[in-house]
Amino acid sequence: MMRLQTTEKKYENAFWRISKYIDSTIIHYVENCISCGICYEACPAYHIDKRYAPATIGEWFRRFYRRYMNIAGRILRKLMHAYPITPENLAKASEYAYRCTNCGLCYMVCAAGIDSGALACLTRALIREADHAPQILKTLEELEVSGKYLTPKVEEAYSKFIEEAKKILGHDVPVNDRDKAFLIPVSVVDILFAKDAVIGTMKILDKLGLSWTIPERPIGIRPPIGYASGNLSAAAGMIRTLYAYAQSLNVKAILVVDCGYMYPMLRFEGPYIAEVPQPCKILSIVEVLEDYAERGLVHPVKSTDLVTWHDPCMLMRRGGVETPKHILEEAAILTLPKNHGKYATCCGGGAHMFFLQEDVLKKLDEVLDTNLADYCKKDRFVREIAEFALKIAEHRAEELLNTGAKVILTACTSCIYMIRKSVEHSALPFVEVKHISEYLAGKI
Amino acid sequence: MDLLTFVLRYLSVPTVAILIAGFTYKTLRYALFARVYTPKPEFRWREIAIKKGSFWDIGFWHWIKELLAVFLRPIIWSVRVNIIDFVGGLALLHIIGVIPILFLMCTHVSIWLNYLPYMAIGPINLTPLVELIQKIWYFFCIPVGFGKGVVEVFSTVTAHSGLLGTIWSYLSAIPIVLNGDVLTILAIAAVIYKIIDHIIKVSRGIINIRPGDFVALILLLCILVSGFVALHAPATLPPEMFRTLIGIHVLFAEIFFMTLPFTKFSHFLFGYWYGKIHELYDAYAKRGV
Ligand code: SF4
Ligand code: SF4
Repeated sequence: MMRLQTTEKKYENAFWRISKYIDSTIIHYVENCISCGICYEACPAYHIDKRYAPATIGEWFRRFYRRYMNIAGRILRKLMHAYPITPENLAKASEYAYRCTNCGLCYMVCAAGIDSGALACLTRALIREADHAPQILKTLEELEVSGKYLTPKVEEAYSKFIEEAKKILGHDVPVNDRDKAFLIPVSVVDILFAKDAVIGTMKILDKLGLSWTIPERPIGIRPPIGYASGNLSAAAGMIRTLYAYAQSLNVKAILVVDCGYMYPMLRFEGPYIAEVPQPCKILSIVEVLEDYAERGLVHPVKSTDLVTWHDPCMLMRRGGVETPKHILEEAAILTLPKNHGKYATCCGGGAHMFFLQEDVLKKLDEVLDTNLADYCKKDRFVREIAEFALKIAEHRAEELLNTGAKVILTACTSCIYMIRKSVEHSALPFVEVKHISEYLAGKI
Repeated sequence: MDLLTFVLRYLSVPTVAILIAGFTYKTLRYALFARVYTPKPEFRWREIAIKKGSFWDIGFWHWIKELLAVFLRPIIWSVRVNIIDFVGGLALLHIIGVIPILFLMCTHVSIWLNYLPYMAIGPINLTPLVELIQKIWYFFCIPVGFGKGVVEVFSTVTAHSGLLGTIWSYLSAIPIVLNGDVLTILAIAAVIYKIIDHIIKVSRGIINIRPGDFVALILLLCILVSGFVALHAPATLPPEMFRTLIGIHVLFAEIFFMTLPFTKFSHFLFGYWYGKIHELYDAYAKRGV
């Protein structure tokens, strides 16, 4: 009995520790869902399994909140669905929280302005605080924060990447240079999965006459992983490091090539969670290209390719970066999918679902000296979530393929990976899936 | 003392007190948890403004448009993806059902005007503005049923019964379709739809529907049905029985208002507006979405 009480107290304490993130907006998200169901159809998870919808994805956090922070919930537990935090309940909460890709579409259409993705993030924070997060994300986050991701193999891969960039660009790669226009924060994931996109960006910047630099070592695995694993303090630490680094180089802007979490994190959430001001502008390569095209400063060679654009959730809905119509219409024939812009469907790779895919982990294992891919075999939950994310990707790939385009363009490493994988599996004719920088590099 | 006297004389003040206390508690929580964050990121609407020249270049009307957009987006989305739910949940329950019945049906208008002391009917000093509000409110009064006067329970009602002096005296064909009876039936249908919809969702494993949600919906149904029954009681019914029927209706309504701050229906007083204004701030002003 005594032990049971101590365990419950331990979990309750985890709740109180993360309660520092509960402000009036979170209270609104928690208390004002009216179960109208308007958001259901927007949720990529709901299209795969009808049990997972924004209102249900946020529900476990609401249940814990009612149990500890709501008077009615404390008194009328059954009527109010107020639940204590226990290992069993945390496992159930994980089933829901890890189904959310944090795509933000529910927020756009919610009748009451509720961001269920934010509640899923808080649930993950609670799960992480109670030490129940999937081991893969925990390990990646710890490696990133401690700097242990910088293994000899990572250093070697980075040197090779710089050599390759030098060959393609025809000049030395500026490393750690001060006073440049842009700092490109290259990460381990960039060099393993998006090399061509980063080199393409460098090439474009050269052509536009914009100066740039890269760090002397990869800036993290894909920072800040802490945000997806649920360790918001770790995320805050990574953001502070990145801001401080950019400040030390006195660059005008951090230029994000891979949207991932990095763009909205650095651009919007950073100052809140890291509690430091932004040292410079934070830009995505997409907005730079679009701005140049809008102002008539760039004229790519027009091709007859029929291309389509996938708006990454983190860029569009979480980041406010619009579909780059001007530049794409100048460079090719653009056709947009049924759901685009604010209403674009998620690719399934959000919230770092990308990191739960076995072949991604195998590639990471090769350089990080880890055995993360084994968890895909060992851990049923991880396998289930990874498959679930792929189903979401297939759904989006179908929408993109229905446009008839021969090239699918986007600006996010996980989007490219997830869509490419689904396209490869589809019975439809093969199309290319590329980063916008990779596609435009040879055309500007 | 009969039920009607009890609920009107003794329960109405505690009802309003509990309602106010509940909302004060809720609002205070928001105030206590409100945080002013510094530093802040650079807001995107500023970027847009700088790009275009000034705040006024993106225009006051642009802000109004964005404000409307946050309110209209869910409605448009709902029409696009789930028309049945739009009709049952939004159109019938809100726009056609509960809102006009509650605020415009002539019996209720009289109650509202009774509850709001400065608008009380009688020889008290009405400021011209209050008088104007009262006139406008009465002008849009919806009759209980076509061709019916209003039941003589409240003296104030009698003075304003029937169609005379309301919009319906000019648009006499409309009350055949749009009257309290029709609206109540539509609202009852909508609440039953919501209850069935909730049952189906629960059976499909949707976990966010709580027993409390059913209680609130059933309470709303009771209010609608009891009101409808009371107003359609046969003329031969003894007055005491009739007063009891109205008393039951008012009692349900008072329970509804007492529990309002703690049920999902509170959204129309606070949550909905807070959510939408926050969305305008976070999604549009901050992120530029
Ligand atoms: S953020 Fe996206 S995945 Fe998460 S609940 Fe909302 S719609 Fe579903
Ligand atoms: S649209 Fe908003 S209020 Fe309605 S069920 Fe979804 S989260 Fe709740």
